[in-house]
Formats: sequence, structure tokens, C-alpha cells
Amino acid sequence: MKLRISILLLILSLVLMSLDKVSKNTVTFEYPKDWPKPTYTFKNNPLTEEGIMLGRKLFYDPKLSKDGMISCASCHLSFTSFTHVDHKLSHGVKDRIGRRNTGALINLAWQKDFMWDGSINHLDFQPLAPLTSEVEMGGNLDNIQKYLSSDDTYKSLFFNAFGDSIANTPNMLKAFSQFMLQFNSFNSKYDKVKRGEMSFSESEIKGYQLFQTHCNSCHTEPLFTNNQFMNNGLTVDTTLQDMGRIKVTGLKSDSLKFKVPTLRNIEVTYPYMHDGRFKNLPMVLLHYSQEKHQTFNIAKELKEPIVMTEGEKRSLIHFLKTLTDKEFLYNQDLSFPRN
Amino acid sequence: MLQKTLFFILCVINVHCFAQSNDADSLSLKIENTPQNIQIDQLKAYLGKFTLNYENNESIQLQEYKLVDWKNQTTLHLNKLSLQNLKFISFLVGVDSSQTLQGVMEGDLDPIKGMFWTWQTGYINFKFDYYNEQETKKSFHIGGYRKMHNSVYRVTIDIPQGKKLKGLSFDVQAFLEFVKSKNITSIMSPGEKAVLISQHYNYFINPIWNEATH
Repeated sequence: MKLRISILLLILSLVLMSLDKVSKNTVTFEYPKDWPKPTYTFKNNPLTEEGIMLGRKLFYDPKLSKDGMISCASCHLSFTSFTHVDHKLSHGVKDRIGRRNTGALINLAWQKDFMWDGSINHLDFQPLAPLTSEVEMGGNLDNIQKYLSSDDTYKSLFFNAFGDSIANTPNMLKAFSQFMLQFNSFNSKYDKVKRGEMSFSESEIKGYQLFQTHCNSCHTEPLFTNNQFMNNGLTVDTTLQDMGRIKVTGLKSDSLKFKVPTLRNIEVTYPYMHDGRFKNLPMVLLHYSQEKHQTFNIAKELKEPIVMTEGEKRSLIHFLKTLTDKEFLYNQDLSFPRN
Repeated sequence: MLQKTLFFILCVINVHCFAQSNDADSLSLKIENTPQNIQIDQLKAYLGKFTLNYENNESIQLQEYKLVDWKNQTTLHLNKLSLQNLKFISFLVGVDSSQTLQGVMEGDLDPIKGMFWTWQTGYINFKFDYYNEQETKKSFHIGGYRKMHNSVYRVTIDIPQGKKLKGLSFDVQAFLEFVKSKNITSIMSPGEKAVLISQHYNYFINPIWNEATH
């Protein structure tokens, strides 16, 4: 008898669970056919409209920070490809200054490692670092959970997204991921040329050839990064003393290596490099075209200066600007939620 | 809301119906040899991916991880797996990289449990915090899963014939003597010191035996 009741209850529970699932609107992750498969673990966090909506509210909410002033979007502005344009280093709670240039957030479903040194190995875990860092949002997970669980709007958003109005940390992180997985850029002029919808100018064609000769081995198409860590011959900043990936892996061979960033939307993500030392693209190209800080593990492609005329540099920059994706930068679905 | 409440009530009833206490799968947790001059603040570890090998050569693997709190928890349940007639049992102390690559998880692996490093992905595999005589806090947080700093270590306990594993004790004195002998005063990040301690978990985590009941 007890067994029968239990089975009945179990069936009822499952029916209720399935009803709950039906109420969510699943979202298919779409990307260009010729792109590699994304690496994000969608099976553990299926996309839904409700999850994305919750993630968007979280991303723009300064109340998650210690002083209620700093949101993720304070340093990740949608119209500059989710980076902190014109800031070498960003400022967090109490105007504290961080140690590295804010990275652009683009095509995150293909990223395996996050942060300039790859210290975070999964998108879900990424928000924990800025949320709790004393120089960024300075928050505390217990307090964040209490705030989210006591706010009526969040209660309803969490319930709609995950069937539970209690805001636990895993569901918060899943929602963050679901929203950030919408930061997809594949509608730049470059992409449209590849699809046959537009054509390059003469200078852009020349720039693309130069790119393929000098840049593509690390900033590999179509993501414009090889997702590796490289030493690109920068001297060590004497104040920051940032030695890069070696801190994460303990391997000497990783000294002074930093993540190869994507070049998508590079036009709007200045300043450049892990410490924001170069204000503009001509300065970046100047670095690559002159003698670099030679260390044992400098990228083999960069041991010798890349020789280019000023005209060639201009063409290369013209090409790089074709990677600007205005549909992405001004996508209203990714900006501050006004409703 | 009604849907959720109903679901919750049904789950509670179900859990009550099915989850009768099962002592056969339980390991007691005990702290031993705590010096009088220290006050333990936290003593926790992730134990996971248990492998149970029985005398009939049957082997069962559990994929999950359990957060064990020696200070506030008396028993560790192994999902109703029998601890009778075991030849050996082994488990990881720590959460391996394959798990972190799956993204965020609920339950014991929820980062809010305070056993997760937010600034460099990875669980704190083992945490021992105590106050010494001067009321200074000493922290030993062992973590790290990458090649050079991998402190996820498998502990194996052979079960002698005629004995049954009753529990797992943590020997505080042995731990303190070990770290003193290696001049380790505290650990808060992955590295060589963490790896060294992780390779000696079986110095501090000891089996508690019972006479077997066949």
C-alpha cells in the first residue's frame, strides 16, 4: 500500500515538474554554420527566454555590489562590446582600481578560459570573481542571495526561469551565463562579405591579406582568437608587476603569457593589451612592427619585427574596422532593461 | 506559487516514504587528538567519486561529491550502498577538473558553501581553520586542480578481513605535526605546499573500525 501511494505521489510530482518545464520558452543557440561547435555546457543550463531575462536584470543591477553603485555593466558597456572603453584599468566600489584592462565579452560560448590569465575555467563561474572582488563589486554571496530572495521582482523572475523563487547561487550564475551567451557577434562587414552580402574596399582587401599573413595564426578566424595564451613581447609594467598565466599554472613556460583576445569589434574596445597600455590601433601596430621585449617564450611569430609600410598599416586598420558589428553593439535586447 | 507548494509537499512526503534511515551505508565522522590549546573553527573536505570494492570483486563507483564537515556533521551517508563485505574503499579528497568543467552545480557543490575560490576557479578541497593560544586564526585551505598544482588526491583504505569500516576520523595532532615538520604555517592558494599536504591525507584521515557482522 505504502509503495503504491509513493509511486502515485512520484508520478504526480513528475507531472508537476513537467508542467513547470512546459511553462518555459526554450531558446535555441544559433550561430553561423561554418563556425566550430561551441564549448559551453548547454546541457547543464538550457537557454530559456526567462533565464535570459533574469540574467539581463542581474547584469545591470548595481545592488549586487557592496555599496549598491557598481553593476557588471559599469565596466562592461554593451555599445563597446561589453568592455570599459577609454579605461586602462577599471574602477570598482569606493573607486578602487583593478589590475587589468576589462576584457570585451564576445562569443563566450566558444571560450574555454576566462580572464587575461585564464584563471576561470567556465563561464558559469566567471561572475563570482567580479561580484566578490574587493576592487570590483566587493559583494558577498550570502548577502546577494538574501537580497535576491527578498525582492519580489527577482522572486518572480527566478520562479519563471527555474521554478523556484528562492534565489540560490547556482541559478543566479546560470542566469548570468544565459544572458552572456547572447553576446554573439557575427554580423560585421567581414561576416557579410564572407556571406556574399557585401564586398570589401580595395584597402580592406589589402588589409585582409596582411592580416592573413601576419595576424591570423593567433587571431584565428572566424573567432579571431586561437583561445591560447601567448607572450607577445610586452615589457613588464613596473607598477603592476603582472606576470600573467604563470600565476595560474605555475609553469615557467607560461611566464608573461596572456590570453589572445578576439579582434572582433576591436575598433571600439580601446585601450588595448592586458593593462590597457596602448591607446589606439596605430600604437598596437607600432608595437608589433618594432623590436619587442625578447624572452625565451616570446611567440615564434613575433621574434622578428613585422615589417609594414605606413600605407599597409592603414589598410590593416581598415580591415580590422570591418570586424565592427553594429547590430551586436546596438542590440536593444542586450542593453539596459528598461521594462 | 500553489504549484510550487504542492510540489514541495509531495517531495517531502516522497522523501519521507523512501528515505528510511539506512545505517548500512553510514560512516561516522570523528575528530581525534585535538590539542587543548587550539580551538577548531572549520574542518571540512570534499570527498567524492567513491569506489567500493567488495569481497566478491563487485565494484561500485559513485560520481558525486559530498561536502563533509567534521565539526558539525556526525555521519556521512553513501547513497544506501552497503559497507558490508568490503575489500577496499577509495575516494577523492577534492573536486577534480572534469567536474568544474561542467559549470555550476547545486547542493554540496554550490559555491555559496564557502568552499570555492572565486578569483581562480576551483573548489577548496580541504579546509582546516583554527585559533591558536594567542587567538590568531590559522588557515590551511588546500585547493588546485591544474597539472602542476593538482591537490585532488585519492585516498584508499584497505579493509582487513573480519573488520568493517565504521567511520572516518581526522587526527588533528598528526596534521599539525606534519605541517610543522614541513614549515608550513598557512595555505590560502594552490601551489607546492597544498600538493604536499594533499599527498599525505592518509596520515590524517584514518579509518574507524568495527568488528564485521556477517
